[in-house]
Amino acid sequence: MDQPLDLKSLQSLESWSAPHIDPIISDPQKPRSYLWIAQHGYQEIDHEMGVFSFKCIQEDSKSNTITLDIDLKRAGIANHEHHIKAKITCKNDLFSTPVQWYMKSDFTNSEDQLIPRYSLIKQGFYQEGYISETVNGANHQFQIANHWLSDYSLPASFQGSLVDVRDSIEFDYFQEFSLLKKNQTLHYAGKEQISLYDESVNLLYFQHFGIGNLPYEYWVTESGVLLLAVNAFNIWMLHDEPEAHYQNHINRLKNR
Amino acid sequence: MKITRRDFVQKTATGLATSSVYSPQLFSIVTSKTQKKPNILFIFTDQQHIDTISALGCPYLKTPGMDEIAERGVSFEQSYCPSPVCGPCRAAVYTGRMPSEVGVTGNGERPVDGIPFMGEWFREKGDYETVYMGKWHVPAYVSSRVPGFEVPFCGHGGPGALSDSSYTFAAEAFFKNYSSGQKPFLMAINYMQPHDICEWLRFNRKGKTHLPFTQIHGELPPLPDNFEIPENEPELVRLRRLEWEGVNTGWSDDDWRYYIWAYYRHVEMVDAEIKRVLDALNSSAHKNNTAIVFSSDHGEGLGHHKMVRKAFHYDEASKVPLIFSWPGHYPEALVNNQDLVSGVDIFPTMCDIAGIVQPNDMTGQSLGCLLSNNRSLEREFVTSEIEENRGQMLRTQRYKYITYYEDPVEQLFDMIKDPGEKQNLAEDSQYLSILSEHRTLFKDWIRSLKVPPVVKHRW
Repeated sequence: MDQPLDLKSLQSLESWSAPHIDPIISDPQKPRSYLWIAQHGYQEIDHEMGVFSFKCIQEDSKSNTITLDIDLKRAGIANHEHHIKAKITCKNDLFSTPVQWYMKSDFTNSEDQLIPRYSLIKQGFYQEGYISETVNGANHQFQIANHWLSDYSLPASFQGSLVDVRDSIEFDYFQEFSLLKKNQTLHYAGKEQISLYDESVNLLYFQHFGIGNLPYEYWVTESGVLLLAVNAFNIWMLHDEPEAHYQNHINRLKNR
Repeated sequence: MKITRRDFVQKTATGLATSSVYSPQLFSIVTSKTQKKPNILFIFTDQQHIDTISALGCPYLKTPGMDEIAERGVSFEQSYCPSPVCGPCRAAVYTGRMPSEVGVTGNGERPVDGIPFMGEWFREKGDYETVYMGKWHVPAYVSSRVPGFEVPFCGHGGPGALSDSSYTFAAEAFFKNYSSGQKPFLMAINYMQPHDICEWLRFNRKGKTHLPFTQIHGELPPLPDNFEIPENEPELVRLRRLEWEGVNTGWSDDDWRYYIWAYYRHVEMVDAEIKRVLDALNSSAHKNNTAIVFSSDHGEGLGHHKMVRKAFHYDEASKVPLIFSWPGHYPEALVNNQDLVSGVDIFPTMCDIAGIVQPNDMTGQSLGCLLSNNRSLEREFVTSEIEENRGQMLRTQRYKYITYYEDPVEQLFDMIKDPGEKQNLAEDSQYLSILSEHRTLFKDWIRSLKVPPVVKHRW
């Protein structure tokens, strides 16, 4: 995208119900949710959909850590669902670097029953350039750059100090706490105006490049709330009623 | 046992060039009679151009996942899909027969009854645990009911950027939770990527006055050597090119390079998933008893001949990566650039690996002898077909012959002298006898099929 207005070409934004930012600013611990829409190239409706929700808990303003509660759902046909729940502890630094996490991935079948052999638990921690991870009991360790981000913690990172970046920074990207993508760059690309709530709103515009990714684009309020993320035809939009949209979507899929 | 250079030719000037042609494992292949049947992991991507693996020489992307498979197995360079269209190819690969034999020659068509599918066969004849993730497209794009397989999650047919990761999560969990003491498994992971390039094209089909993302402009790959449109093409190919309004009328060279760059990123995305699957397998109890088969349903135009996507018979669409790895049984880090192989060979080769009988009258051939005993395939050519059999391709060692139904323009390419398929020799009088020979080969081949095509060959 050259600028946010071009997002009109992504038809999914037409149904966007953007939440007001003020309550989030006044209460950073308020849970917030992103509707994730992956647009299908051959059809105008019924795009693939997911919901990413997180709650950012900072015990008090003097605390050196924040805790994120993550809830991610992806819909499949026949009422199949992939559900990830995670709890992530982050440092209160520039990247809100995750230092410890617990993640559970489950699949449910068309009867909404758990399929146990596809369940997975990942636990990990980060220390001095290394990630140590236990996956269903097996241990792994690998190196990662000192500066690293994860998509699960990215909204919290922006809400921390990342929003103040005005240049380019290098980092490794640990997507879904599962895919390590090295040598990434976050680039501040200036301020953009979009029309929101019938008024013009200034947003900070960031671009993210690197191996294994098409460019990501992030639009963030000056107060650090990640409003919109776009990766080609994938959109994550902060949303007032993502669960309702998601549930409607699931209901439509049930009838296929 | 000896692998000669005739059969296995090391790729030069590639990442694999540093590894030994003759792996020590070749000389110490031992199969214990008491060993349980091997597990089979079948990784099948969607729309992957054959030259998109960094270890096999592509300098424009990084693919540590596929590199690892190539380094532990045998990669085929003369590997063709039975159809450069998703549904027909998948029907063919999962039955070991040509699409017209299965009755699926276009997307959305239902296969005829009575032909065994891979999952059913492995369950019934091999007592395998069979699990399936991802795209199906025979006929439904995705389905919770794939013949003979358990399907924990299949998304609903949208872009892989959302659902591919879920398939990997399921695979990771299965490797960890499934005991090696249980019966062997066949896991088929059918990633959607890099097919998402179709979605990317939808949003980028109009030419741009300037390319976005100035940071990447220095990374854009060059245009391919065979970028120009060949003269004297069949009408269907010309129409296929015009199908994507804007691409061929409004794109500048930089637009094309941007698209090629974007395609490589899509391949890297699926590679990251593959690496994750391999890491999970390697840290599980199944590591040493799991054969890996890697391929893709069809290729991608990638700007060659100014084509995008698929559904034509140039090599860009009809060639696909194909790698077999089986620890202790097949050679490692080898490239076979001589034998003509096909996606219909995957199922019979898997039967060989599993030590189970093959279904009767399969069109595909097991590559087992070639892979483990250095015997050449007894095969003069491979074929591919599209569009309710309106288009047919026959590839011999030297030439490729293409014909489209009721189209007076045939194509004949010398694949040794002209691997980019730039010069159509079909109307060159010097090649009349070769053209005639290939027509005859094709007609004879159709007559020789033990299972007659359900959809008649129109040619």
